[in-house]
Amino acid sequence: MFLRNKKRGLISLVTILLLSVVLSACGGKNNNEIAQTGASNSPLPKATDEAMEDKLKPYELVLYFFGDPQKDTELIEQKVNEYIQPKINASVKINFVPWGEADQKIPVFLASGQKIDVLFAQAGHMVPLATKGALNPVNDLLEKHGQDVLKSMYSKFLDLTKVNGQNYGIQNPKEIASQWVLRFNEPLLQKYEIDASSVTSIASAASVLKQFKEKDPTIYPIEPTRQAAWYVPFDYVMNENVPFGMVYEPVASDGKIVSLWETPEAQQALETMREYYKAGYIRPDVATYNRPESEEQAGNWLTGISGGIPTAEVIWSNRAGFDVSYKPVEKPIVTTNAVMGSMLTIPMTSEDPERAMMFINMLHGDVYLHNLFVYGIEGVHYEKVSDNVVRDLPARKERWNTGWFQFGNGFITYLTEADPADKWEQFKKFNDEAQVSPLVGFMFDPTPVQAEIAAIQNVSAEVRLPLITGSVEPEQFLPKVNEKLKAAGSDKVIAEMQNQYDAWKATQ
Amino acid sequence: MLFNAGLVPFYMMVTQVLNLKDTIWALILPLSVNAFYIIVMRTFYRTTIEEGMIESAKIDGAGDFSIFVRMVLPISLPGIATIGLFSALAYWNDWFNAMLFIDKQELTPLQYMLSRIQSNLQYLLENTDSLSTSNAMTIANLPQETIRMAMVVVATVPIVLAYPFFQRFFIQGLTVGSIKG
Repeated sequence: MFLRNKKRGLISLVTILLLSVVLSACGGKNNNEIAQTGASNSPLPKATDEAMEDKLKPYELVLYFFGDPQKDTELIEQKVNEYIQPKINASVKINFVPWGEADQKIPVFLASGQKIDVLFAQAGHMVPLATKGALNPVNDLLEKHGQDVLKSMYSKFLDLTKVNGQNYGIQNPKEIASQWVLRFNEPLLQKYEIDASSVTSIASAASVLKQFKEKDPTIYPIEPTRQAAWYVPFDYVMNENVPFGMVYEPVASDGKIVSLWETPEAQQALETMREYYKAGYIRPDVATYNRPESEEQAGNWLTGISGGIPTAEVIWSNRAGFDVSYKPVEKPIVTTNAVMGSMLTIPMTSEDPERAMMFINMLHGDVYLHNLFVYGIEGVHYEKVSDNVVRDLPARKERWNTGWFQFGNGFITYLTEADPADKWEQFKKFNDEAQVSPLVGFMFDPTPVQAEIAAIQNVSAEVRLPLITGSVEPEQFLPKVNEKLKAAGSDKVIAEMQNQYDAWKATQ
Repeated sequence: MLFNAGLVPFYMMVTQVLNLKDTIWALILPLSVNAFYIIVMRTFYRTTIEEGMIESAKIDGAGDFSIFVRMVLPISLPGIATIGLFSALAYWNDWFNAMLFIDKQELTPLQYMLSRIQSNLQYLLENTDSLSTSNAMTIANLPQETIRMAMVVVATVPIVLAYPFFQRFFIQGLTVGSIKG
């Protein structure tokens, strides 16, 4: 009797287990579908034409920016509300999502139908959300309510950032390009009376390095960072650990995705680095050396390559504690990540996209409102030194410390005392000079080749640093690297990238 | 445990039906019942508590309630302690619920703070080019490695200390010889 009971129990348990496995598999799938359709099916923006007819109804705008939650959020909300209430009859609720979690949280928020009116986004967030249909296209809205926005955005922004023929992101104007520069330790240059003004490339820095090494053999002149003095004009489809993309100087015009290590440009750069390494310009253990921050401040370095923007010397000098200058080694280059580095979007879950657009327009045109978001409240978080120059008070760092580039028109941001007066003119010039990478606007979806990409990243982790620091002989090492990459599936990944690139190009 | 509707319905349930967003209950309720623990406990009862013991208590005149309190509970202490330890660990290590539901700083659990620092750091390192301007500033604000390691130690110590206290409940052979024949 007992035994039979047990047996029956066992059978039913097994059945339940089996059933549940089957069911939960279905569940998982459904769930994805819900997540996707949920977002696209969410109530369409109610025609706001009626709302516009007489006057605007009161409305609460829910804003999501990135960063850690700030203590003075409510205080800022109050001030913002006081200011925008009379103008667009709206109030705001400010939220922050920590940088590293946005990828996980934002899609859940939107799929669950949670109301968000204005959402900060970068390329990596905007494109997948737009493809899923979770964002409102902004072209018409811009025409209607975004006059100030259209004036302040980078002129080619809308052309470069279309997803399936429409625009979903509104640029927060700032620098749209990046540029590799060689930075120099000014006091050391002066001490040994070395002239670095003729440096325009890594190769042309050779004479400076040579002079320095002769005068002071105790210091390795090149900074032992993860970048050392490595420069190739190459734009990656994903990032430097998946070394596939296109050369942009001279611009690759054939539209073919290639492997970095097979380009003549990379081979040239590898040889230069190897020369420098052999000449003793960089410490021999650089590939495994983890440079402590204090070493930068100690000043026992002469030069190194770094991502630069106008006025970067101010930031570097502040951090190092002595004068740091820089010389560009290329023209500024517009890349996907730089041009889409800071955008505001209007999700489908917004109940009043037009109002959201009006608000974004104010962030672009209204100096007071924009700076309220950036610096906080005058007298509490900052004080004014002159008309557009401010000084932080301690409360700014403790209670309202936000990423300044998220809140609309960066070019109307007040300057700090360390900034040159023409900071924003320099930025605009930088933007205008920039050349466009052939990959701009293209976002790769790595899901079909995830396993291969993981394997390739492992190979990169192993070979990249020894190669770019000149620690190994490129002639012997490079063929092995290419073999390893092939074994890891580089052909498949490049083919997939090419497919997606061609498909994307066709929609442009 | 086996059936799971997924993240989005879970999120909707907690925030829109139960209205628990930004409350401490969002950290407590989702972890309070776990199907796996129930199965563990059930198996534990089935294997350690013999029919005969309950019968003997009945013969001595005990009712259902006093059988439960005076016989079953004391014998199942090791099981309860195990589940207690599991739950304690689960609550202590939980950062995911906090990530989804907690925006208020004063409710942020330690583990969530650690994971946030880690994920932010990761993000900044991966996206240095798109954040170039603010990069220098933001990285300067991040805690150094030493401080992060100190936080890890602080986060581990309480749970390591808890172990010896649970140890005394893990007694073997509690019921050896309770049934004869």
